[in-house]
Amino acid sequence: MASERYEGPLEQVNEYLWRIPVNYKSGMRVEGRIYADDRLVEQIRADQAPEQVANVAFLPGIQVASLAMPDIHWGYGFCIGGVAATDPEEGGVVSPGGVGYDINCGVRIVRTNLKKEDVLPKIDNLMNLLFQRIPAGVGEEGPYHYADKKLNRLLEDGAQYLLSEGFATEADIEHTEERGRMDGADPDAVSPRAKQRGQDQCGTLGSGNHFLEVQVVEEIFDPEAARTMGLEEGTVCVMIHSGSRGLGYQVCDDAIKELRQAPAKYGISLPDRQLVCAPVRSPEGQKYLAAMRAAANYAWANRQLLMWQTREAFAEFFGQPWESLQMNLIYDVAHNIAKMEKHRVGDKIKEVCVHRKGATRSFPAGHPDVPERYQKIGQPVIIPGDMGRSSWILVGQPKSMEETFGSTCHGAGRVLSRHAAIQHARGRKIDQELAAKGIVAKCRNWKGLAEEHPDAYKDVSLVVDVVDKAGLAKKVARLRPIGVVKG
Amino acid sequence: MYETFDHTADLGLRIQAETLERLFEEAAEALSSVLVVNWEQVRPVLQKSVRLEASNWEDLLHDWLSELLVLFALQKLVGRRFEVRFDHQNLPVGGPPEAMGRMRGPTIQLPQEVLEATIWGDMLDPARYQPGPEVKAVTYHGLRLEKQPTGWLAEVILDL
Repeated sequence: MASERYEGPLEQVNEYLWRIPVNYKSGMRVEGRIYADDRLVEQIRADQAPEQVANVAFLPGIQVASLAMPDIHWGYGFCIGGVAATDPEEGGVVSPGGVGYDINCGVRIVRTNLKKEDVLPKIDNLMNLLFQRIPAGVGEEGPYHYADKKLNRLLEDGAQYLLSEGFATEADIEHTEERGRMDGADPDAVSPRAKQRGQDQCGTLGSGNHFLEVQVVEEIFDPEAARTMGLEEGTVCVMIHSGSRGLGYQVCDDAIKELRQAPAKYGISLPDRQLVCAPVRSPEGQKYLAAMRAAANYAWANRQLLMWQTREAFAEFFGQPWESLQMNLIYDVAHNIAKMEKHRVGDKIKEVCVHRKGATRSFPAGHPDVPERYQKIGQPVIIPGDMGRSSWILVGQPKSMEETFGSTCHGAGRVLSRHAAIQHARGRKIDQELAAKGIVAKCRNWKGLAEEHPDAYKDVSLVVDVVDKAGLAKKVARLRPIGVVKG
Repeated sequence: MYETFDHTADLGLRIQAETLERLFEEAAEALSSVLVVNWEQVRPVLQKSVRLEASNWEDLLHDWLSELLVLFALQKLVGRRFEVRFDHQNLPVGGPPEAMGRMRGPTIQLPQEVLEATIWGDMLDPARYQPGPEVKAVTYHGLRLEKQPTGWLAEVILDL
């Protein structure tokens, strides 16, 4: 199965929206909709990602459309950048493949009161310290150990459990999606093997596209929203991208294995085995959701501990407590998750199971789930770019509630396979190229750096342009990396 | 014989072998060579046995490679040499004794393919072995295992 160009239908609806008609494949229950502009749509046609959008439309109970954000790329089962909402009242299903192996992979961003000029002259030493202190890379274990009852409490209470451990503040919890804890998590639904994989990895970055970056705000687009977040041009921030580590991968793998027989049992016909699913209202569906929520809670605790270690490193480096550096968490978002949420479908308010596979929640101002601080501006949406280019902070907009079940994009989206990226980087010194752009990169191995080099990704600014113009989320600030830690 | 193929965010493995046993062994070698860059230098100094069951060959291949991933994650074991044997068994389909007692006719049997394997390898020592990219999972997307005129072919996509 190699990469082939998508030759199916893709009809332009408006400047930023394309449609795969419901009659493209028999078995599709709704149409496919892809957010993109003329420039991105050509890249999107280059592989089978649109086919995957059509395949997701087979899921029982799917509402309105199988949706894809402009950072869509070819995944396994679901495309990356996909959003699908199913209604349990109509036999709607939950699919572990619609969340992915890295359950609650997500991003958080912390501001500081440091300015670019305070940090730039010392960036090399700062990155050396961060590289030393932040556990990263394959098989790396952290300084924290959670087993037995402690791990169960962590799985049940997520980042909120860390309040009692002294590794989180109330403000951190307030500024985390779901307040860092999903209700309905059941540690007993998580296998002993998954728990074993999780006991020494909470507070570790992992490898692949996960990173910690020191960034500088380069441009402000919405001054009021930026002020509310404590951002101005030149503000130094830290962005952290990681997920639920081996525990989450195991929860997903266990679930897919347990669901092997479910499609036959519930009479569900699927075009790809990776889309395996069970009705939300079935013992299998409920068990997966309980385990997935526990893994999601683990991921929030993981990012909280990564941030805590970052604060400690900054405090040591700058010789003052992190509180006086005002290292406040702006927000933390999940971009691989399934959640029961209330949305308007036609003239009804329905509680649907929203799968976001490489997509970010994007709730607008006034939504009850948006923290008080952001009630007037909308939920912060954090879009990591790649090592050499910008990352973005946006805020959720009302149109996301009307069109995409409160969702927007999650990142740049790959254009080169890892293999191709390495070929592309052959003979080049990626760390030196980054250094020439003023970015200090620390990585365990060169191959890891090559796989993730900037040319491997779409230009995140093009992706952000589309969601901004389509009204799903609004630009607040663009940030530029000055230091990168990768696994 | 194995090779890797491109899949945008992930990595595919294509394996060909004359026998099914060799196909599973080569698949294990292919995965190990992704996990450790200088895999050919891994010393076969530790031994581990594995037994797995699945209702079809594709699932068994998935479970076998997933088991190797877990051994790598939990015990830091990198396999260098693999010996795979197969067996076939019929599992009686069970239920609560009171229900089973009321059942008439022959017991329902579920055919199971059984894999028994011995793995020889070493612990991942970063001073000696260079880890490759993190493999999150063995996916079912595009999973193929089929008989061909000259032997067997399998394709597996890894989530990186």
